[in-house]
Amino acid sequence: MTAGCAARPRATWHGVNKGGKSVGEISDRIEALVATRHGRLAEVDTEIGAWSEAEAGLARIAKSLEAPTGRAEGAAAEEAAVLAGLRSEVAATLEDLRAARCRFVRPTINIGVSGKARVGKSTLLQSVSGLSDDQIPTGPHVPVTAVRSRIMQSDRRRVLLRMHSPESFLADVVAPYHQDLGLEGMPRTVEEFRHWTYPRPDPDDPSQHSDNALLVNLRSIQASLDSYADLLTGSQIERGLEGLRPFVAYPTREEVSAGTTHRPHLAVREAIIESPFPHGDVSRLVVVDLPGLGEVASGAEERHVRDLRHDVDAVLLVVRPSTTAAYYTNADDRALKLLDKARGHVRTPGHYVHFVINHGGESTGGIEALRNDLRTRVNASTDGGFYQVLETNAIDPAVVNETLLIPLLESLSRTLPEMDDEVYSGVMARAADAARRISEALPQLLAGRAGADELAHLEQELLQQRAAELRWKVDQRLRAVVEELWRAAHRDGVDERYTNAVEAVFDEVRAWAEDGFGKGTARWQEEARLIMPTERAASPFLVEEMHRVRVEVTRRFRSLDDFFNEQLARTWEDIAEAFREPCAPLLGKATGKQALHHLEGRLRASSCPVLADAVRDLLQTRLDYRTHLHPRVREELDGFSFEGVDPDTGRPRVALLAPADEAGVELLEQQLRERTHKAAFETMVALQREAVLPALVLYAAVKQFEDELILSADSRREFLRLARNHRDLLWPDDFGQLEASAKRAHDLAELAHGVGEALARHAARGDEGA
Amino acid sequence: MSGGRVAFDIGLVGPSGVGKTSLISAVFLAGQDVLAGSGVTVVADDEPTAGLMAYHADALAGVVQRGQFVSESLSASKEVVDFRLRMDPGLPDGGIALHIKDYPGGWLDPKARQDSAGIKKSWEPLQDFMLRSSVLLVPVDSPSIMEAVTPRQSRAVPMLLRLHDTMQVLRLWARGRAAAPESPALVIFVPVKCETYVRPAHDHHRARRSDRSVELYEQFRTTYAGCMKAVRTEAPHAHMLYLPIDTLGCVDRVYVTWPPDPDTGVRCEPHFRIVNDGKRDIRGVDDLLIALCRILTEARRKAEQDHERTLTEQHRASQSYANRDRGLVGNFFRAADNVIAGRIGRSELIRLTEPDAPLSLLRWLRIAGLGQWAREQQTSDRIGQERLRALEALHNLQAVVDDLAKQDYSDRVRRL
Repeated sequence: MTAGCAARPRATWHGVNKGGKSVGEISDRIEALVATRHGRLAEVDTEIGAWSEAEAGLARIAKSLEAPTGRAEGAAAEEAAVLAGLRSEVAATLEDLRAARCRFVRPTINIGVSGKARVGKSTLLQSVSGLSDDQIPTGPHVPVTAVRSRIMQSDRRRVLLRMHSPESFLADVVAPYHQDLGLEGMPRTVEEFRHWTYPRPDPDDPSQHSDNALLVNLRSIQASLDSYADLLTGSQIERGLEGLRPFVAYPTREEVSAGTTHRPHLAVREAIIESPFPHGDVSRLVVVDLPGLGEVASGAEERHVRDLRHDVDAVLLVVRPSTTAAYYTNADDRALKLLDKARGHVRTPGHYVHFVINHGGESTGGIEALRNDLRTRVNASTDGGFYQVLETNAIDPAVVNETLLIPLLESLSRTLPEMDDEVYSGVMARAADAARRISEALPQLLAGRAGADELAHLEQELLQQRAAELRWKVDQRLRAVVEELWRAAHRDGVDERYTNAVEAVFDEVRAWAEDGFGKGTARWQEEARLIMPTERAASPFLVEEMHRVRVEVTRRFRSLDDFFNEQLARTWEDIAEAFREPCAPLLGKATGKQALHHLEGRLRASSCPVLADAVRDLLQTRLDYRTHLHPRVREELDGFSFEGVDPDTGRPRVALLAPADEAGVELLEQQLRERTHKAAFETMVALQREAVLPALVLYAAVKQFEDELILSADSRREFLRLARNHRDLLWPDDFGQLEASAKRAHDLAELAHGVGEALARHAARGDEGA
Repeated sequence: MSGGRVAFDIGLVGPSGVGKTSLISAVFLAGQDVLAGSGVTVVADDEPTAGLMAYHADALAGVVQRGQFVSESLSASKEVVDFRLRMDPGLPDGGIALHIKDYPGGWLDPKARQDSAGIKKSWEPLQDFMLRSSVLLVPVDSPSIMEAVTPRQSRAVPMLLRLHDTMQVLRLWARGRAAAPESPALVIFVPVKCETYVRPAHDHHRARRSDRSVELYEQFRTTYAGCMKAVRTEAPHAHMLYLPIDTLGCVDRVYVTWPPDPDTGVRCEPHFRIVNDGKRDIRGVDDLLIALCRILTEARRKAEQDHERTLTEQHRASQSYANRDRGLVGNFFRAADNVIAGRIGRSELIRLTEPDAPLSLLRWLRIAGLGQWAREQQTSDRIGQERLRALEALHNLQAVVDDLAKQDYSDRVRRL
């Protein structure tokens, strides 16, 4: 039953018990019990919430301890051990609280029916519930009940089958066999289980002989997989009560003999059967058909205990004399011990477990023998010494009602409130105890660790330190670049790469001029011979040619822009590399100008406008022939025109003069070539004398960048912002550790706070251990 | 000084191809122009020199004919050549002799001398000549120091100009001059091939917009600072002049290339074009002559004084001989000679008393001693007249030298 179920109608039973108590009184007590239980839910939920948080906090602390903490290995191991102990403590406390919650949220009295196979449990359930073999199968000679069933009184007739998922099937059905058989490995999927090869006991190895039964069961489960594999959905199936047997019972002997592999019950985790009970309105009663507890595989025991603690208020341990064994057996004893585990905080075992002798159809002698055996071995030779022993005939519903149901309910109506108190105080005391233990252990966990506030300060101080280091490192590397540029501009003098580039252009111009000014000597002369006589003068041709030559010389020298672009690219590369080591992640894989663009983007995104603008302005630096050098050499070319002014006399003069005839053509070519050579040479020399200019431009630009980046009033503040925004990228180890420590400290602080509150709560309630 | 002349040894210290021969040729030709009409001229003092001057002029004309040339168009000297010029005042053996030795500039390199026994043997007398020279001319290759822009070019300049070797020669020379401080000592640094850089205002043939003479001077001072310091420290009394000379005048630098050179890294190759129709226009030689004349003035005065003393001594000696005591008869005939000479003239008396003169009393008298005094007196007189003519020529030369020495240098010249 789960919390949140609708309140059921008031319980009423018919009849009067042997003690003369009216069923009405029993019903009233049970109603009061249920109401009291519900009243405790709020506190239990509060504890569950608090301890869940504590559990999560301890989990986070344990996880954070997996990362390097800088502590000594021994101290870390000790710490881990303490944490493991606390986590175990908290887990047990939470388990306790959840079991209590299941108890207090239940609107019904759940009675479990257990006992060895063949003692009449199913018959008893039929008598109580009015259901038939089809829903609660019985059968001679072999175990029948395969699935835990709950039968609850309801106006409806239906069954809710909770199906295994593949994972729960493997964990709850297959895994216990593997564990008991000591098999290596475990199938991870149903298909793996299908193809798993199980061994056969070696006849020559006696130690394996006892495994045969389990292996037979396991192989039969495997062999019948096709009959239930499709049912492993993890869902809940609602169906009618007819044809329920295969889902709740083992195959019949006949079916087994016939070699059946139809075992759909293996896919059923639990069956909840709703049906009107025959004897009165017992809406607060649920009977739970438990499998033979002494016969379950060891791995399944813990699950059954947990289920019992969560779902069952009391257990009927049904025993029955038989012609072959009338006594209280070891299996019964194992079941009793298991039930004792399941009682939890209930102090009196006899309140939790009630023996039921099913004497239906058995001899008096056998009944008496069993009665005496129980009296001696279970109750220390005192009637009802430790456990109540009820007797009934399971096959007769009326007898069951008279001799079992009514007395049991009467007993429970008295003992359940006490048990509830015991459970309640027990879980609260345990919670208080756990809180105390955690409180005692916290100093050890906190030892040598900074608190959350101190860590916050450490974080800020570390960030400031890293930001300062970042600025220093960038400055150091940038300064080297600036110094190199200064040397190039002021001390090293002329850059031979530049002068060589200029000289190369001059050589090109010379070669061009000697090749008939790009036309070829023969063609140039031919043109001159055609044009000059036509114009009756040399000047029209020469004017055009001199313009063309002047423009060509300028155009060729503009190819120096290739050299300048290379200079700029080299400078961007050097500056990008200045940032590479201190803050490589900010540049990505880009280099040179692209890397600096990335950096600008990062700076702007980090609210560092001054630094971003410095990078932007740097990248806008221009170094080109037209802007920087041509104005300085323009004068050399301005004089290269057909007409000009004599600098000495101030009078107009003509640069070239020759007859416009055959002899004049060669002379003009020679003169024009000489003037071209001279103009190009003067331009080359002028450019070479300005060889320091490119270095000066670059030095000035980078120096300005350095000033803005490092020496401006905003530099420190913006470097700190950059560091803060990208600290995990730049220093993942440093801040990762600090963050882990801070989280740990925070979790410890929260844990301490939670524990403190728990202690206060328990102290206010007067819980033991608080 | 020998005979009636003053001789000056002028040393030349410069690397190969700097234009030593062109400089001498310029002095020869331009000197004639400078001294034209003064009664003094510059002549080739021997046939070999005359031949060399003619050869050089022809070679230059051939180069100029082509319209453009590279500075190496005129081949450098390959052996020692003696140039003997003379400022001739009209006396066969008089005037001022200028002895200049030209030699391969590569001989300045000690390694070159070490590697060749022949060069080493030839270098010793050459070095002696330079060390005893009163004047050292140091031609300076102007394009090398003006057109070196790149580091590679600048690095090559000292080696191209043989600066270290030049400095060593200057230092040796200066120490020698210091040992005789009363002797003249003059170093003239002569930038050559500087037509493009030193530009008179009226020159419109050379296509250059501005005069770069100041830049040339500054570059020279920087480049030759060590050489000047060597002279100054060893011979503080020595004079140093900076005196650019246009040895051709009809050229203009178009461009300069710096091709690779195995010894110096690169070498300087200026490319020139011919302007002014190839008409040679030598400038700066007048300043050179002024400098020589100034230094010669005092030396000349001393030499002249020595010469005059020598002539005066000769005259006095001859006069004394003619007026010696001849005894009674001799003295009688001396008196008779004097009287007769006074009437018919000394020359006639001598003629009549010549051995081949018609037998006559005078001839007989000559035998007896008549005319002897007249002859001897005539000899004395002739010597006196020669002395007078020599004196006149020397005085004229002196005037020319003094005149030149008094002239101011042009604004091309700077004292160092």
